[in-house]
Amino acid sequence: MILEDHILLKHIENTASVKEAELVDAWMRESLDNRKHYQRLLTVYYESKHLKTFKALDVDAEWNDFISNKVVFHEPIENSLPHRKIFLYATAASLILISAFLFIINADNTISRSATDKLVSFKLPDNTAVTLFPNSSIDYSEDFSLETERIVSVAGKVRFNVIPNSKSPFLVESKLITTKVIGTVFTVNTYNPMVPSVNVEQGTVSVIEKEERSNVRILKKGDSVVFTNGDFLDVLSTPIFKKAIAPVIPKKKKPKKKKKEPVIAKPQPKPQQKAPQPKKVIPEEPKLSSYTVNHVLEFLDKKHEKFSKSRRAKMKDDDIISLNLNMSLDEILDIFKKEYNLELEEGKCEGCVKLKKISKK
Amino acid sequence: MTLKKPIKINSQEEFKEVFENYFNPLVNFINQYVQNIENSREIVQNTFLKLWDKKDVLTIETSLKNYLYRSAKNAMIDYIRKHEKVKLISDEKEQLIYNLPDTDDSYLSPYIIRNEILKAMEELKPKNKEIFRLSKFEGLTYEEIAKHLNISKRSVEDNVARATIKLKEILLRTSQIFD
Repeated sequence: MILEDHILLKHIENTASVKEAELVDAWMRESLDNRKHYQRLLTVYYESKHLKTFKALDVDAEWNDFISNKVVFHEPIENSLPHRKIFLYATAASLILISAFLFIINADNTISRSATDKLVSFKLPDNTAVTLFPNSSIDYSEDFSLETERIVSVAGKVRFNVIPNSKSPFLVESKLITTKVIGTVFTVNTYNPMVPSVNVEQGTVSVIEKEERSNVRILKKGDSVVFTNGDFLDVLSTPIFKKAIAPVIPKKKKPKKKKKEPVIAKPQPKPQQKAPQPKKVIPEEPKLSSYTVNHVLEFLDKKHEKFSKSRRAKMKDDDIISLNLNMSLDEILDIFKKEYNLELEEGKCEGCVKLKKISKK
Repeated sequence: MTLKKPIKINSQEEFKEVFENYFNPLVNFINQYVQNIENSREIVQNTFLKLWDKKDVLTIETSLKNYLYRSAKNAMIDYIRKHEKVKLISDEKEQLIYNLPDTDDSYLSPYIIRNEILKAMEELKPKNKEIFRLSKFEGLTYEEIAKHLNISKRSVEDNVARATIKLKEILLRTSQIFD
């Protein structure tokens, strides 16, 4: 029997019909090769979800750094310190070269830098580290320094690691909002300029509506805020793992939305906050009780992905790897036990686990 | 370049190939603990410096992947110890680093796969690639992409699915991650 990849993919995404799912299950029982085939598709599907956090540095540039440095390295100097310095200089020099074409000094004394299809990281004159995401740009004054108020304006999505200085606040201007900080790590996302958002990884920032300067939100570590339809949506604290998986527990009473609805009468909250296709999620749940680890993983990943969007920028990388396909079953089960308050039983079927909810504390 | 047999790096070309295949996976693996891309990059550059110095006398018995995983891990530990006064990472992360095993290099695998997917994406048709990118890199929903490109949501779904399947095929042909 030959099955088409797109049916397998539907199975992976849990969008297959019952009949299709049965077909795939039967097909997988048929041979090890079939299971391998499925596993490969699953791997691509699963790992693609993590591309967003994968930082692709320019390997050619890194190689040039490396190989030009080699010339120095081969000289018989015993003391490692000079090497180190030369190494750093070489790096800095080549970085400037690479990004030169992206680096424009405008007539009005502002400096513009932009990233097209890759992440671009560099430091501002005050040593603040800036990462430009693809299709993003930043402008700042030529005499940008700690001496004055530090003001930059951005488009697209930009992450900052600001060097603290109480005398010189750091302001990020975008079309609709200003983000003000003293020293912290945060990301401003204005891919949709009309719906900007800010996520804070460390420290505290205030986000100010430009039109209405008294409209301010204070964000702490792990918080995100979205500005849409003329106002800030609630400050969203990063949900913890358990909350995200909570819909698995059948008796769960308070849906995620509840928290926000009374506060905001907006017809359309941030799209990613909507539970996608609730009709499809409900019938999935019972399956969890007797599924193979792959299914559990894939199911989990769905949940994981859903909530991870809101906590994406701050998400601990271990969370990603902790659900990685390379983990052993036992490790995954341990996570289940801890995070989801579930009891796990070895199932009757091979490679299956049974998940049973432990009564709430 | 095989990952399974004992290995000897014979030329600069071979070295470069190793560098190109492993640089970004290693940086991302290290960055998971160090949480600073510049520091991570430096640790990996140093890892390759050490490998370069040894390359003429070195025969790797396990696998290149395992060797690089261990070297990078050790370079990271050195780096943290050397900069002890500057608190680079949390105690929690530090503990994780010290608990990393020597023999099990599967910690590096996801990053190798992601890197290979990135490379394979270059072979996708431009439109297909762009839709896949918007979905995976920018985390846009199918609706958002549909609106953005003025196509149907169904077409977005199809494109993402086709890209996923195509990438699997490309990787099977060009990469060793499925071996």
